[in-house]
Formats: sequence, C-alpha cells, structure tokens
Amino acid sequence: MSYLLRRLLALPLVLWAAVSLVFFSIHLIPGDPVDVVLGETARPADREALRARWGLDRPVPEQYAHYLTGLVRGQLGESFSFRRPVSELIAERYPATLLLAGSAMGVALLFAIPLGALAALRRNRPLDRVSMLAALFGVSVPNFWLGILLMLIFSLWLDWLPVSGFVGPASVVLPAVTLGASLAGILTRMTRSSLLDELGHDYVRTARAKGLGTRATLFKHALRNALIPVVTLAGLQFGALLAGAIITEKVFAWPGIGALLISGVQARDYPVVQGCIAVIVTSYVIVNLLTDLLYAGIHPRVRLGDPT
Amino acid sequence: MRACFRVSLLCLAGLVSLAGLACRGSEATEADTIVVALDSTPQTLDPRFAGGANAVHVIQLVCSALYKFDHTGTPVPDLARAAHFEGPLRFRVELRKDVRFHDGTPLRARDVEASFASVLDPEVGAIARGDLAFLERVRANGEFEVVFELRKPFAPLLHKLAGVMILPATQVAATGREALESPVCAGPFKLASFDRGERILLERNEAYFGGAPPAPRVLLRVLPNSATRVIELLKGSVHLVVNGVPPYALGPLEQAEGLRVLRGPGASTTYLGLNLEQPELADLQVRRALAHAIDRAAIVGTLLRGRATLASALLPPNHAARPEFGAGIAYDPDRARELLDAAGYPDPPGREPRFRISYKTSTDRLRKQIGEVIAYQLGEVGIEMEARSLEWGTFYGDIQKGNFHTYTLKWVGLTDPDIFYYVFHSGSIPPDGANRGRYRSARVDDWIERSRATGDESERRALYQSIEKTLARDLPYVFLWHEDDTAVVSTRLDGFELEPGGGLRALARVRLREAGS
Repeated sequence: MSYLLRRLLALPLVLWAAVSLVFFSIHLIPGDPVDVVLGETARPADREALRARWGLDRPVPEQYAHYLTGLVRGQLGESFSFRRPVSELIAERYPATLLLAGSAMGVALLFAIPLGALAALRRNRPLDRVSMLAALFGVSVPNFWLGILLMLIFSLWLDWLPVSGFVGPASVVLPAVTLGASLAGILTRMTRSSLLDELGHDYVRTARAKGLGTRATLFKHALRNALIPVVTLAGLQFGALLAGAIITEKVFAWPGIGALLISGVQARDYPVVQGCIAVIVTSYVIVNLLTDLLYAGIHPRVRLGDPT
Repeated sequence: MRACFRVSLLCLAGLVSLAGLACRGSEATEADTIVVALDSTPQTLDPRFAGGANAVHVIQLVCSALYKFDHTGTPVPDLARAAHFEGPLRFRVELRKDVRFHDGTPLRARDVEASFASVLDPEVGAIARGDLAFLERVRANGEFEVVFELRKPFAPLLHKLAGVMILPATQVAATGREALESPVCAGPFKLASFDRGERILLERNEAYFGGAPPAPRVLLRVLPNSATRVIELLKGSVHLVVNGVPPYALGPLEQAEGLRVLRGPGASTTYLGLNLEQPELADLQVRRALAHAIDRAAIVGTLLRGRATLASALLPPNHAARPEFGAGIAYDPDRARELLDAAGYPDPPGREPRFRISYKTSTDRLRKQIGEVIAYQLGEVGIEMEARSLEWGTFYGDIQKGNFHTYTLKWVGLTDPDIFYYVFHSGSIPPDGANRGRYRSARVDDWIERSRATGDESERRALYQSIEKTLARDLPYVFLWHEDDTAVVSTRLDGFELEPGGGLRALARVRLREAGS
C-alpha cells in the first residue's frame, strides 16, 4: 500500500516536470499565436488586446504561475484557435485515442505471445524463422506505409473494412493493427528469448522429470515467468503507442487527440498543447503504475513495497 | 495466470466502454448523403473567428452575407436586395424580405447591425475587424434597411461586406465574445452536427431564400492524409475532393471508373517572396537574375503535371482588374549570369558560389520538392540556395519577422484587388500587413491609396494595371504560376461545377444519383 501511495504521490511531480518542460519549450519556439489566429490584416491594437486577453502580455514566469495554478484547480484553459475549453476538446477526443492505443496493445499481445511462444518451442525450425521474419517486418515497416497498404487490401480490394474514420467497431481493426504491428514485433522477439531462457532453467527440467506434461510445464511455470519482462516492456511501450497514434490517427482520420495536438502546435495554441501533453503524461504514468501492479500479480517473488 | 486473465477481462471491458464513448455522434452515413473530404479541420464554424480556407468554404454553405462573389470574383447581392451610395461616405443597403434564419426567425436590419457590431467590437477579437477599419458606424434604419457610414471613401466596400456573415441579433447577444458552437445562419444548409471537428453534417435548409438544395445532406469529413482521400474516392465512400488530391494522383484518377476530374482556372498565385532588406536582393539586377534562372515551365510540367499557368502578375488571368501580360520573365540562365556579373557578383573560380541565400517553405511535400528544384536551378547560375522546410508556426513567424532571404507561398481566393494594399503598401510591413519582403515604392503607395478612394471603376482598373506593371518591373516577388483548381468528383454527383478558389457553394445545386443508376 505504501508503494502505491508513493507512486501516486510521485504522479504530480512527474506531471509538473513534463508540463513545465512543454510550457517553456513552446514559449521558446518561434511563432506568435496572435498572428496565427488573427492573420496579418489585424490592427496592432487588436493584436495587443487579444494578447492581453490570453495573458500573453505578462512575463513568462507569471504566465507559468497562472498556468500551474489553473492546472492544480483542474483547469486547462481555453483554446486560442478553437475558442473552447481545452478540457472539453480533450474529453471529446481522448477516448478515441485510448481506444486505439488499447486496441493496438491488445493486437500486439494477441500476436506476440502465441507467436513468440511457438517460435521458442520450435526453435530453429521453419515456424521459428517465419515468426521472426514476421516480427522483423512488424518492427521495420513504417506506420503510415503499413496503414495505406492495409487500407488498399482490406478496404478497397476486399471491401471488408472501412477505409478511415470511426463509424463502428470494425473501424478500429486497421488502425489498431497498424499501430500495434511494431510493438507486436518487439514483444514476439522478447517472448521468444525470455521463454527460451526459462525453458533452460533447472525448475523446468525438474518439473518434466517429475512427469509434468509439456503443456502444464509451459503454461503453469515457464510461460508465466517468461511473461514478466514482456509485461514490463508492454507497459513501457504504452507511451510509445500514444505517441505513435498521432501518425496512425492522421492516416486513418481517427478522431483522437493526435490531430488536436498537431493543430495545437501549428497554431501555437499553447493551452491545447500543454493540455494534451498533460493528459498523455498522466496516462503514461498511470499505465506504468498498473504495469507494476500487474507485475506483482504475475510474479510470485515480487512484493510491492518490499525494501529489497 | 488467473490474475492475468482477470486483468485481460478488465482491459476488454475498458476498451468496450471507450468504444462507446468514442463512437458518440459517429453514425453511419445515409445513402443519399453527399460526402466531401476536407484536408484539415475547421477549428471553429463561428464566422467571426474562422480563418482557414476550409472553415470559410463550410461557412459559405451555412451562412450568407450581404454580398457574395460570382464566378469572376465580382461581388453580387446575396442578402442585399438593392444598395446605393448617398454621397461618398454613406452607403444604404436594402435587405431581401424573404430571408429566414435556420431557426425560423426572419432577417431584419437589426441582425445586420448586430453582426457588424460584433465583428467591430475589439473585445470580441473577430478576424475580419482589421478589414473594416474604414467603417465609422453601421446602423439599422427601419426593418429592412441598413446604413453604412464610412470614415473615408472606400472603393473595395462590397468586397469587404462579402466577408461578414450575418447572424441573428439574439444569437450575437447571447454569445458575446464566445465562439458559437453551432451558428444559426441563413445559408442553403443548416449545421446538424460538428463532431470532434472531424465530421460536419449539414442538412438542407428547406426555407433557403435561393431555393432548397436538391441534396438532403452533405457530410464533410476531415481526411488529413492525401492517400486516404484517394482511396476513399476510389472506393466510392467519398464523392468529392476539391484541391485536395496531389497532382501525381490526378492522372490515375482520371482513368478510374466512377470518377471524373474537373479542372479550371484557379484564383491563386504562387510566388517566390524576396526580402528586399537583404543586401543581395535589394539589387534589382539580382532579382531579375533570379527570375531568369528559374525554369518555371519545367516545374509546372513535371511537379505540377501541367496543371498551372505561368504567372506574370499577382492577379490571376481571369480577374477583371488584371492587365494584359505575357508569361512573365523568360527562363534564360545565360541572361541570369550576365545580370549577376553586372550586379557585382562574378562567378568565383572553383566550387564557391557567387553568394548564398536561404529559402524557406512549409512542410508540404510538393512545396519542399519545388524548393529543391529551385535550389538546383539557382545553383546552375552560381547561387547557392539552402532550402529549408519548416513547420507552419515557425515558418510563418520567420517570414513575418523578415527572417528570410526567399520563401514561397500561395495567395488563394484572389478576388479583391485591394490585396495590393495588404501585400505591397509600405504601410503594410508586418506586423501591420503582409508586405513581408519590405517593398517600398512611393508611386505604388500612391496608386494603391487612390484605387481605394476612387468611385470610378475604370480609373480604379487603370490604377491596378499600373500597380501590376510596376510590380512586374520592380520584382518584390518572382511570380511563379497560377495553379488550376481541380476537383475529383464521383460520376454519381450531378451538376457540380468548380468555382475559382475551390469553394463548395456549388453543393447547393448538386444531386447525388443512386448507386448503379
């Protein structure tokens, strides 16, 4: 419990570090949000009025303090370009991004664990080589190219799935496979090597010598231990999935947070960029915490909060 | 392993819930709905705050102004029925009496007064306010008459009035300076939904004063990726893309079954902007050398697949105020070398260039390629050009601050010749306008000011022609080309016509035939 408490207490610190970094970075890069929004026909007085309304006329440290105060109160501010509260914009879009990242994680695990386990059990046989080739393909192929290839095959030629957008459960298949392909490749290789390592341990040999069948040895002992690093890696990669979702969202016109973040950066819409990053960082930290909890659940020797 | 199973079940339940949340408002498309793909999200559909081309095109389907532009870019009455000047500073507009807003309330002069008051209110921060500096006051005179009082005579008045959409006074009062989520207007379509900015559903306005559109619904989908737009077109799930298909894909789409490609003269001008405060580019001979060194015809023939006309002036060829010009400065690298020698930039021995300049452009793939070709062509005459592609905010910030030697951009929707004030008047140097190259000419300033003040159309046209001819000689820009407007249209869509600038107003006149008919 104390471990959980410590991690939860660390969350605001991590969030503060991330949003501070983003706050100062976006204020450092060239480009004025007032010019982007009002264009070049605006009168200087109007430009100054808008700058004052958005608080951009104040010194940066004061803007920073104002932003942090708002954040503590749960206020992410109002978007400069959308002219709506950022929390509303994110609330509309974030479920779609989480759905995409979660589905991609599901796809990755669904492919990686059986494929990696089979590759380990059939080491150096054709099945192992095909699995590793598929894993290599998944890791190497760029998201946007794979997405378009999948669209051509499954949407245009076979007419099985919608091309883009989100109109129902079928819409999630292609983006999830596209986003999850790379992670599936990584996890397949990790599962294979981890399981091979476990299968070489004495306890597996002992279990077999005691007459335990292959299936029981694999599922009750070896695979359970082999999954520990796989789960850890999957948790760490969730952040990468959220980041990678930006490209996948663009290709599939997925109504997630990626397009919002990109438009925020382009328009120098500081509240949107800061809000999106705050939400992504929070999700990332929470997922890592859940990964640690899961880690304790599947590994009998790990006890959270133990001093060692 | 049981824990693992439980967690998996929990995750699955979470995904299903997320799907439910994410799916809100994303209903399947009905068969008689026209689906149009846009390349970027309109950030707001409040006409007071909408700036991007897509937002403007969508708003033109939903809202109406006192004036609109016809096919030649000339303002013609829309909500206005008649109008006349009472002296140079007073303009009286009589409104149509058959107009109703989408909520059923009739249009009255107070709605026009409130709409203009909102745009002119500095607290609101409307984008068009900068264009309306000439207005002293706008007031309703009775139920159907509006009087515009001007600070000074202003010839482009009708062009500027066409940029202010009319909203009901009650709606303006209710929202104040906040953006409208769902504007109620008097256009041919009503806004039915605007989901996450990715899907905009419009329904026909049965009471539209210009006659109800034949199509019951139009769905505008935001598809940021050009390959996705092409695949959706090929599948038949998108019926129209205007200016959103890259030139290399148009050829194959022309051959595709169920699609046709329309092409028409555009209302845009692509140019190479030059910073006249940079020592090399301050010299007219160097600017002429740059113009001679760029093989524009080759770029149009290859990268643009021939879908553009070479430019010699700012206004496009079909514009009424444009003078008769040839194709501009011819490609002549030998002449470019002579001019550079004469300007005091001889070709040094070895691999050293005559001088080095930078070139900035956006991250758009085509613009980057154009930059690379121009850099190569300038290299052939001894100028080393570093082509840099920057994301929009940085690029825009740099060119406004004058932090560039050269850049390319495109002026779109060139209907109002008063753009000369905005782009070339010495009073329009950023932050006061878009004279980013810092061009200063007392003669051009004088002509621009006179063109704004005169009420005589022929004098105004003559002044614009003098301005164009001087610009062609002074070369603050190297005018590159006017890109054609293109539309890829489903053969099921009857009656769609391109309008200069890539607008979508023709959707109010089209019908979607049933599949297979």
